[in-house]
Amino acid sequence: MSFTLLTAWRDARSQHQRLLLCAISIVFGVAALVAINSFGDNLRATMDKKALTLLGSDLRFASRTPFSTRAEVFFEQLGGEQSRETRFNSMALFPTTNDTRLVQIRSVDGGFPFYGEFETDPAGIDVAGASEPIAIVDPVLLALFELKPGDPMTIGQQTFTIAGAIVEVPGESAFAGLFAPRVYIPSEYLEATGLVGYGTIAFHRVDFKLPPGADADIIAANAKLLLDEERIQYNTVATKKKDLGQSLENLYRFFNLIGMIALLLGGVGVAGAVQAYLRGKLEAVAVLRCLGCSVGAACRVFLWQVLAVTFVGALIGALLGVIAQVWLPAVIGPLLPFEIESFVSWPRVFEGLGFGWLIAALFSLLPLLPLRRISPLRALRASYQPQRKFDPLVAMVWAVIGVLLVGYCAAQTQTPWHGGAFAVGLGVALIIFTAAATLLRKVLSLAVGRGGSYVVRQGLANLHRPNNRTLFLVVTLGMGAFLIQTLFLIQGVLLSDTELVDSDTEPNVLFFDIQSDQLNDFTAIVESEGLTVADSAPIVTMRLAAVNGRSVTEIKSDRGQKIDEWILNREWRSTWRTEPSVTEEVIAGEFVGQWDGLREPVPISLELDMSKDLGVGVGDTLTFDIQGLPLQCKVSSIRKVDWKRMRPNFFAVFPEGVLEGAPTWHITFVRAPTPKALATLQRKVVEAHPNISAVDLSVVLDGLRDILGRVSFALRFMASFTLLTGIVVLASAVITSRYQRYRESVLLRTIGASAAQIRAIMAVEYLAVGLLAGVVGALLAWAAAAGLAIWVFETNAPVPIWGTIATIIVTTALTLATGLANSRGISNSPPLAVLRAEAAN
Amino acid sequence: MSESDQSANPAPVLEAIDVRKSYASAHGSLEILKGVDFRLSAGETLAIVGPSGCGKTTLLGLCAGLDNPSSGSIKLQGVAWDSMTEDGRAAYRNRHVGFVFQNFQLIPTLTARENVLAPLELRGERGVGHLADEWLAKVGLSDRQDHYPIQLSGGEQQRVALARAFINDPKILFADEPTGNLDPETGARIEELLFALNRDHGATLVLVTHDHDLAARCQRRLAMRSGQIAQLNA
Repeated sequence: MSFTLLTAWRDARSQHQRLLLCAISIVFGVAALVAINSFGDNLRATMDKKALTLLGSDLRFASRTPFSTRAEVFFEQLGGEQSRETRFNSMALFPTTNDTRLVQIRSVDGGFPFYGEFETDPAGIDVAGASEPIAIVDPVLLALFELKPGDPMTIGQQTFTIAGAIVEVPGESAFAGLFAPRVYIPSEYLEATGLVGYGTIAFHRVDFKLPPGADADIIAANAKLLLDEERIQYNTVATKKKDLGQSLENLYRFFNLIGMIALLLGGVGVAGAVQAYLRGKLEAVAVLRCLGCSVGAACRVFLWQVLAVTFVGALIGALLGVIAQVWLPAVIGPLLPFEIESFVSWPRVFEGLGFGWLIAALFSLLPLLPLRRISPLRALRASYQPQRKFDPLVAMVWAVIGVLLVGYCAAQTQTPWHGGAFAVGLGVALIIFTAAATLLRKVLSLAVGRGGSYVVRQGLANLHRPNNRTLFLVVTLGMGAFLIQTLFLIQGVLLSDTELVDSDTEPNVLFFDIQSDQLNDFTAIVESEGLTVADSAPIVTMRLAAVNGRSVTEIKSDRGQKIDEWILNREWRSTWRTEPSVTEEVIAGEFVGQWDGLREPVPISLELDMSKDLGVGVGDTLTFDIQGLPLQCKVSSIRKVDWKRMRPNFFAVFPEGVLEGAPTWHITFVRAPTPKALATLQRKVVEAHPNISAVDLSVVLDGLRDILGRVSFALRFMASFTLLTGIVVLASAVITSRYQRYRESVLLRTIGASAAQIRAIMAVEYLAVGLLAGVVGALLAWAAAAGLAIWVFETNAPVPIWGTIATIIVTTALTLATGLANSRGISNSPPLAVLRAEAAN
Repeated sequence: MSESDQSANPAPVLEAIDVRKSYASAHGSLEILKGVDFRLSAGETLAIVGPSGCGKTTLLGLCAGLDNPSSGSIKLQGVAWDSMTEDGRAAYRNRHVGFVFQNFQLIPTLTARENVLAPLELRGERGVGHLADEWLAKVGLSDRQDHYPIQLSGGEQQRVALARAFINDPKILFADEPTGNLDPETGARIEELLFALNRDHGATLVLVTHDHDLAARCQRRLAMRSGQIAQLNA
């Protein structure tokens, strides 16, 4: 064994605890990466395995209008097997309990699913092939109204018998029926409901099991022109997998960034712990140099130690990651349309282990490389310090860390500049913490005089005298507080939509599909219940036909166009108003409230984000196809809309006097003071007008909260890795500085300082460090969260006054508590015992 | 012997030529050594004495190649330290130089035996454990070879340091106040041992000391004051 390896081993024998401190910071970061990456592999493997069942068929076409004859001719040419579904929302009445509920009706025929299994309870119910009016329903309905198989339910004018509950539909998650529970009925009885007809918003779908050899993607690609012109959307196994994969990939990447934060924080902790460890080795290095050890060999002795111990840390992290991975499917599983098969992905385990080790090793090099500058003269004179010079190797290590960080972050975010900004942001934060710590030292060195309490003076002096740990402590603690608080603030921003309207004055039920001739009667029913209509709007459905003279078909065929397909394909529901509503603010142009008939171009007001997506502004023209009639419009104003308020909000608002002649239905918002009043109103409306649907907004909010709660839990689960790393780094930082405070504390004890005085000196020191780290960390987190909210999540910046105060208090208190907990041994033991223990270390 | 008489001596083991050393400080350049010249022949013993802060330890460090002078030159066995790279100087020290420090400077995490072996292991020698055993026996610590420095008294630590200094059979031994941290009785024993080992092995000895008795045992005495040689005699 070489001298350096042998000495590294020998030197490490009595250094287990200190070396462990160097490694422990990295554990949770590696665990997070391994857990996330392994889980990502599980997701991909499961998706590959269940690819066919994701769609349940080879090819699917869907349209918001019944398929045209041209489309039907095309479908007939495809051959194979077909299965049809018509899907729409409607109110269902449950005569057993006299309750009503908005449900999603799915009338089906044919053999769907062709792949996978439509599971029901009791098993094997074939609703498509049923010759009686039966229905299978989401289990939530059975639970909600205490229903059981055999009970009746009325949809429109037809009563169905509940045959059982849905267990699993291929390609759908457990949340598919969250807002409007799913109800499957035989298509044979669709017409009998009387609900599908003019003015109904229904989705029409046809699924194909293609003949052998037919390629769904090629068929769809060849038919692109027809599909565009007929506004038919298609899905194949490949597109479904891509769409699903994309959204899961985004979630996975976000989690990965969180893991990276934990790893980076751990890296900073490793650097600090190694620096503290090596400070005790400077004389040993000098002695080795005196004995004839080369610079490289002297450094290698400690490099081997650090590499070995960080490997152990990364290994423990990898093992923890494998264990944590088992929990992730339970956390995220219900959000997915399939059950994840959990297995240990060894390549990912090794990747996380290797990457974590690399990061730890690079951060270790930062304090290790300056060992090369240790002069052997130090063995003669401990105070000998060579002049500090710029070290190109240290700069190179920083550069490598920077490149790795930018590369990793850019790879993990969909938009490369997001990744770059994330990395640059971390770099800027590091500089700010360094500047804050330097400033603190400078200020203290100038401000701490000879007056005042000795304890306070000594505590503050500890922060600016030679060999202080102020910079390391402020950077590690501050970065920890900053990263964790940013994570929590962003989580709050992401979940802020759950705070929609929950006030006592806002409407809490929405009625839609009210035909014009039903409006007066509907209003009368509302008023007969002692309630009033809070807001109402007429709606005319239309499609976008052209933008600034370019037809939608032309735009779609242009590969360079940047307008999302969903905007070009969507059915616009627009209204007319004489003035902007309470949820709208005109930010450009002039809102035109009155217009003279169909004189073109008609001035319309466009919503801000939609104008951005379409790339149009005031003065640009849009052509709409209103039920077959083209109408040229000119954008006269741009509106900012508060979508969080449950009011009738629209992308396009027309002036009065234009759309009145078009087929119209209405949407109204009502405030019902109690659940009972709400139920009574819904029942009376459904009884009188079965086609009118109602959405209980509190149910929508509950559903949203349920989903966001799960997302929030998943976020917290991942954030816990960062939190744990933060705590470990904090403890490690404080413990390593304890070693440094040992000698002077013992000296103070020797010359008569009481244990309380020593504790007070340390308390002053840790209080100042914790406070500075907390204040800078919390303010930086505020700034970072505001930046992310505005530029990445495109929402309002948070104003976390209490969160900021809490972060400052928690960081300070944790630093103080950890510091004092670690000083117990010093302040309570007899000086001699401590001296001997210190010497042994 | 006066300075002019030295030219009559055989080739010197150690030669200092107009050695100057200064350090940057907050108040400008601080000159520690202001032109030091002397020669030392093989087997001679030299004591460097003088008040604190006169540059004794700095001169010793420069003679041992632990740093470069700001100007002037120091040659060991005819080879100038400044003609070698940092690692070259380290390798040269490993082969030809021994060290004894005031505060012993044993590596705390190595046992006594491992500390003694370090110089040989550093140059990759194997199967040399018996040499450490022999040296520990010579200094009377055979029964303490597996003890860590913390488990040894000051005198015992300095004896381990002596064994470590001599194990590579150095041509020259540098000692920085070798008895400075020891009580008189222990100091005297270490002193005896140092000179006995030096005599047995024919090494040149350069030591820094405040102890007049110790200085008197050396053949030559170099007295320093304010970074300059105040007196150099035999």
